[in-house]
Amino acid sequence: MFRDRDVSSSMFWALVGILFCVGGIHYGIRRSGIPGPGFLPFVTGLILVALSLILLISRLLKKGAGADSMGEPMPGGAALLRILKVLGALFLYALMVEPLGFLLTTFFFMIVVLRLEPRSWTFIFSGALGATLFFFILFKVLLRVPLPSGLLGY
Amino acid sequence: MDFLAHLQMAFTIAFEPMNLLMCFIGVLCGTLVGVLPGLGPSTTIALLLPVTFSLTAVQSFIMLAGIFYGALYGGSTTSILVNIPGEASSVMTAVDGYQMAKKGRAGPALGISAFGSFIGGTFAIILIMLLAPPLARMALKFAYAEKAALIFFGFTMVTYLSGGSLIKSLMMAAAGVLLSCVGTDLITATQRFTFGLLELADGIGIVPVVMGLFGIPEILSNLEKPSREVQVFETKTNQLLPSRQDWKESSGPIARGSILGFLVGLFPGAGGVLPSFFSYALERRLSKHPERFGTGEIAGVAGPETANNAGGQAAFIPLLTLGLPCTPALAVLMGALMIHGLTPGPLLMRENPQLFWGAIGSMYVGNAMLVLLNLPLIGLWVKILRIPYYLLSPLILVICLIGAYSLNNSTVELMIMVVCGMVGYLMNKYGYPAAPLVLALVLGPMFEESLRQSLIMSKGSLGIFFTRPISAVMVVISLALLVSPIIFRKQRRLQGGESA
Repeated sequence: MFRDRDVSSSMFWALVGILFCVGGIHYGIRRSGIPGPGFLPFVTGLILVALSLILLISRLLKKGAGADSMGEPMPGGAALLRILKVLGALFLYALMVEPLGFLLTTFFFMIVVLRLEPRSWTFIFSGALGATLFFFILFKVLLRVPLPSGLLGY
Repeated sequence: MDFLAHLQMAFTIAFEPMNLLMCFIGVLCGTLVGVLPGLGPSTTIALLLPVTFSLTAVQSFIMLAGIFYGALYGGSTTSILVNIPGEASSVMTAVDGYQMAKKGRAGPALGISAFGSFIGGTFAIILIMLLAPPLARMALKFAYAEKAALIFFGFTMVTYLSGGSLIKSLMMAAAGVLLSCVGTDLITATQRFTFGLLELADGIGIVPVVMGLFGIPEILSNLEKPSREVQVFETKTNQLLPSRQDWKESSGPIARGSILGFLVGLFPGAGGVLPSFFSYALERRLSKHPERFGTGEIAGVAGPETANNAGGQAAFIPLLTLGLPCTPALAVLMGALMIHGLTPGPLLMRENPQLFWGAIGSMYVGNAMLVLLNLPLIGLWVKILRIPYYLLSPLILVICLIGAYSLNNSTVELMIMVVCGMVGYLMNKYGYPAAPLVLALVLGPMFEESLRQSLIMSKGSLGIFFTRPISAVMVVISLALLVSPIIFRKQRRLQGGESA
């Protein structure tokens, strides 16, 4: 049942709705007769839960009427691995860019992303180095965008 | 008199050298991202946002708006030459445009789409000049109830128009409103859903969400396939000018496309995409040879290409007069104005005439630049398409990362972007549209303020939205739109039952 995408996703959104409802109650739906700060999150959360339930029920009623028609197929195997690698690299970038600094983090990030397909190390290293320096000069030196310097100072 | 004075002001500002340069950079970048599939105008405007910090408000608006309408132009080139629509608004152009190119008529197809775009775009700008001032005056009379009803109407239009499942679109609009609740409550100053993070006190920023939901998923889904080569067949594009016969066949579609595109483009959520679809359907219905559509009919190129530009320009009207962004790209543009301390809306024209009329003037100039720029550069765009994706995608990712970080110099925004990237990728896979979420996130704070202020005035009664005529009309239309699919489906089922 949970393998059905509409079923699992509607449950996820219902949960999101419930969390915002609870938050709304916590912040106060009504304050002295007028809507309080929790009013909109509560009402919208409720609407989201209701919509998710409609989606879930209509999906369960149509069970066996064929696979869910919306959306694209999920990738498998090597393709999924590539995507997980990129997402992981993005998360690590967000975590490491302040302690390590822009230059080092971008360099490592580029290596990971360029290595998604088998290529020579010379290509990967020169590509990563070139791109990192290019962005550094373009953004930090020319456009003066403040990029994180990190512990090492660059 | 007033009109001429404004026109003069518009062109004086637009022809200042720095503004001309910004307009040029904008339309050039716009055409480039229009050509490249996967990098849309909303992501590009978000990416170039940090660059505009050192510019004046007028300059940045001129440049970012140029990206927006430049992308509408660029999309047609690749649709015609390689059957890859660079933007959703050019999908219909590919149908007949590519067939024309295959028959060796790429030149007239490209030419007519450039001229059609120019005519449609210019027509829409003239109407913006004429209609925006009275509309803004009308909008000034809007109280909280009208504003809330209008935004509600906007939400319904976006969900109704975004295609796919209506329930899923509505769910995404609700999710967007919920996300917009994160941050400091405007009325009581309560910190909501911030988990003690100072960076969230101002709410979730629109730019990292847009880059996450639109930019990153596109790259990820391109990475699913091993790097592919775009097949470009060699066409002769020497003769770019459409013949007299071509003009004769296109003049009707261009005229109709301009008007239709403008009218459809006014609706929230329509942007340039829907006008082109509508125009194609209309031309096919009116044609004496509907069977020729899909085999390289020039009317099928001229109509949609004109309509998407007219529609794209028309979308500036709700933004500049009401402060309502109708497409995600315009939402980011609005964010850019806000960074410069300007609030788009009915007062913009009065308080910042320089910006308003400068922007209008630059749109005339930009449209002319696009025609002159596009015809000679077509060869270059086709070459750029040959840059392999394994080189392009890491570069786009790093630009996204830099863009998100430099907004507030904080990694919280980076995290938001990465999480949105993951969620956006899954949303694509599960058939949830991202546009309603983004628009609801942008309009959410405005909606909440006007909704709650109205309810405070009415002492908690929802009746206030039905006793005021403008808001009553808008709420009723919105509710009708929401209920109509259910009724239609019942009817169809009943009819199906009878015939069976």
